[in-house]
Amino acid sequence: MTSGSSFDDRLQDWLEDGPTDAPHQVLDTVFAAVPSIPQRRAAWRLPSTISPMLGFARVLAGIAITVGLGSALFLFLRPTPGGVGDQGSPSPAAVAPPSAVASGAATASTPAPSALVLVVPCDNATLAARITLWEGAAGHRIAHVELTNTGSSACVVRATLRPQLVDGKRSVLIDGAAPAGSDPLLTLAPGKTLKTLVQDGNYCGPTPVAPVSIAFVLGDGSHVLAAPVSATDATVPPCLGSGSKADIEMQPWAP
Amino acid sequence: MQAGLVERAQRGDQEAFAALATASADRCYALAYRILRDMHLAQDATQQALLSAWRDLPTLRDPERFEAWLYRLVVRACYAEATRDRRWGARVRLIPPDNSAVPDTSSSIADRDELERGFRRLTPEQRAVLVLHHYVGYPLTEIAETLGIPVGTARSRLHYATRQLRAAIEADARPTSSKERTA
Repeated sequence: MTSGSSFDDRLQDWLEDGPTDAPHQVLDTVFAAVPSIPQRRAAWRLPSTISPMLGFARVLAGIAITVGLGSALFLFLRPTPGGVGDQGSPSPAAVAPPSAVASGAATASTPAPSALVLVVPCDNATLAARITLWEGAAGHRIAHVELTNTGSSACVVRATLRPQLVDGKRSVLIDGAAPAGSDPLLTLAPGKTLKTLVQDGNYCGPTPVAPVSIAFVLGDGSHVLAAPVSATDATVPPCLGSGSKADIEMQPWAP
Repeated sequence: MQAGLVERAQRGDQEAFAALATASADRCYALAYRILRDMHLAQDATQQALLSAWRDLPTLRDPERFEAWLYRLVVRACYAEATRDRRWGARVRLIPPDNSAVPDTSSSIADRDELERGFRRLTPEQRAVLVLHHYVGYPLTEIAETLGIPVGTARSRLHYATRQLRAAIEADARPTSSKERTA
């Protein structure tokens, strides 16, 4: 501690010591909380060109924004055609039709409400999925699926995605439901893998083209198709009755 | 690219925010740890800063300034954590040496202990300015902007923080020397 510069060097060296990687719980907690936290509105977010007009223009802009928000709210809250039969139940259909939520095109062209958009930063170019095993269950089949980040940077994926049973022609044999928007996000480091079980049942359609596999619909509407167990696998869950709907659902992804 | 993500996140795009948070979390945590000198407090401060970032992102005027703005949130979160932690200042717990593969040739363990004890006697504001300058590498103008204070204030705060740290280390060393003399 003789000179200022040597002291600065010592201090700098000492500060370099210590952790540099945030524990994974940090991002897990943040991603789980974000969907439930509304963003603050910025009053300054008006085009700078109108700022000299001051009062009157700002009032007009405020009215326009209010009317716009009101219209969006009205459109958002009004019953959807698909939800008519569900009026008696407090189902998520009152929020948005699942198909609209899962469609990337729909979310891209619909300005409101952002909270319904699935949050899946990982894209299908950097994700690889594969089925490692099919198990039989009473009236169902269960697939063991792995999802790997093949990219060079970490990305996040929803804990649950919309699963689909697809055949070799990419025809959807059984379409799963879109997950809730409040599902937590998981961070997937490069080269890391998440696992899940996907259960399907009651397929009463035509004989599928091999290979049968499982696809996951990402938030932008793109798909991640799992590599099938074999190129000739065309087995589907047994038909338990065409009067009942086929079903497919997944457990949350987990390390 | 980052400015584009910031603008998307400002419009409520959670995916864009997730990408920003993923890219920033390590740096935020490293900054918070060096101010707070406690992993759990640093974790809480980082979480709080990132959640504040999501909530307040629409109020950020210049997307290019995202990093400095985020660092400001981290520093504020550190101040809050330090205020909440009643043991602040009284606790002098030495952090075990980092198990990195590269041996530390620049300072001995005793040196680091001295710095640790001296640093823990500083206020959160003093710690923040030292860390931003000596760890993040910010010049005074950047420190001033990050902390939301005038450049002159940043300069004097850095000066007094450095002086206080040196004084604390010297005060820490004094009793040992007198003991040695009496022994």
